[in-house]
Amino acid sequence: MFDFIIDYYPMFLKGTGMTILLALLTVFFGTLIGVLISILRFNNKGIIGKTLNKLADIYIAFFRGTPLMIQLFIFWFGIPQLCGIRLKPIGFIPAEFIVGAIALAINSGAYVTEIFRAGIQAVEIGQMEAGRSLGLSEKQTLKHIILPQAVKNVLPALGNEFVVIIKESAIVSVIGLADLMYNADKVTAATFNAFGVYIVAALIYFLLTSGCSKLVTLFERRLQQDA
Amino acid sequence: MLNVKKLSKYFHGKQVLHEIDLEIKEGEIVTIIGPSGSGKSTLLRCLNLLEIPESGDVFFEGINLLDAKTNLNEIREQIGMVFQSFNLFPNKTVGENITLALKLLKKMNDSQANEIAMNLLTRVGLADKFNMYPSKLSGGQKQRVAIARSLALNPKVMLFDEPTSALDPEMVTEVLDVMKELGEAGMTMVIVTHEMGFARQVASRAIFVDGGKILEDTTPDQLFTHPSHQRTKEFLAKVL
Repeated sequence: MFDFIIDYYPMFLKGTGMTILLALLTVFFGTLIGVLISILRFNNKGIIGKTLNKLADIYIAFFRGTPLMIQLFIFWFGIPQLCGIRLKPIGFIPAEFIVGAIALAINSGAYVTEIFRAGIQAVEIGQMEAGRSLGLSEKQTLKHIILPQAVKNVLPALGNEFVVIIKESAIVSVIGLADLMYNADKVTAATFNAFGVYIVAALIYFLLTSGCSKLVTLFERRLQQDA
Repeated sequence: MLNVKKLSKYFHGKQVLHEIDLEIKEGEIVTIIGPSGSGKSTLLRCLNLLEIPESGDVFFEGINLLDAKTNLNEIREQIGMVFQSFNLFPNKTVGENITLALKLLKKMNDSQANEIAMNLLTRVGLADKFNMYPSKLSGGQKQRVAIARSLALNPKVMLFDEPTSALDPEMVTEVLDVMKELGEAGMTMVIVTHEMGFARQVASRAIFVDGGKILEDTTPDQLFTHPSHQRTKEFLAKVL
């Protein structure tokens, strides 16, 4: 049932490599977007602050409230058509990869922003009051007291988000990016062994996600020891 | 030193402080007592604008805190505050809790700030806890660190918001002792408390607040032995 592995293992390896690369980029840029927007959100005074906050709300609501596949199609088919451009590879990086990574990162950024919002809200109000009563400014209190605690609060949820990204990244196979899912489809078409191939692909995804969970747990423990 | 004029505060449309007038002079130790929900903590929190009153004024050494031109952070450096729930920074060691404001606001280097922190910790009897995290301390120890932290910037007045209410009974004394010593050293203090014995022993002035109004403002002896107000009598009958 699994003898196809001997012939096709390079496909699985390549696909896995692509999935890992895509997930790493998504995690990096998604977290970056989430952190930047979370910091930006603290300024909710004045017209500019209020407008930016409103825009952030719309961004989060849209990307959490619509299917990732539709978002991907909008980036892959919709926007190029609207702007009348043809997507081309940049150097040796395929266009599918660039668009897939952008769509996943923007989608993940919306979730990370929400994770950070919850993490900041979970820091007791007394911490801000203690900082302010000492004469620290709001910015100083955020930087030295609130945010370090918020980061610790968000680690479990952030780790979970990383796991979700690894799994959800399989959706990019529909625009033809040769990730693990896409290559599994190709092996299935060549071998007609849908059960065996998808079980192997599932096992690889499982190894990736459980490995990621373990890393996050280790990292959390390391941080717990510091306090 | 602190001067409150016609101060009113509302929460969700409900008035919790009614045009309060109050003056705190240098060297005074004022206790504010009263039933839960009477507005005593809110009144205290208005003194450094942790609560922003809807109307009225708060003056510190003649400076109006509610004036938009006032640098509130500079004023707050001079007004120490101790909270019921300690509010120590859990991500920092005991020493760092105390040195943070010194480094950020007074631009001190490590050795200067650490020396001050160590002196203060010695004063509250916790010099050996310098490198520990707050989570390793008992409630009484936490509150003593919190007192040391708010003393670091050498404030002119200290506000205490029910400093012993979250403590196990056997730890109340160690905190009250530190506060007593502070008072003996001449610190101006405003203390919201349920510790009637302490209020009577240590305070130079006692205020009874009920329904968002100051009903009595007199010496502790007078308040506890000859309360003039029926509400005060009822309250004291319940707590003494």
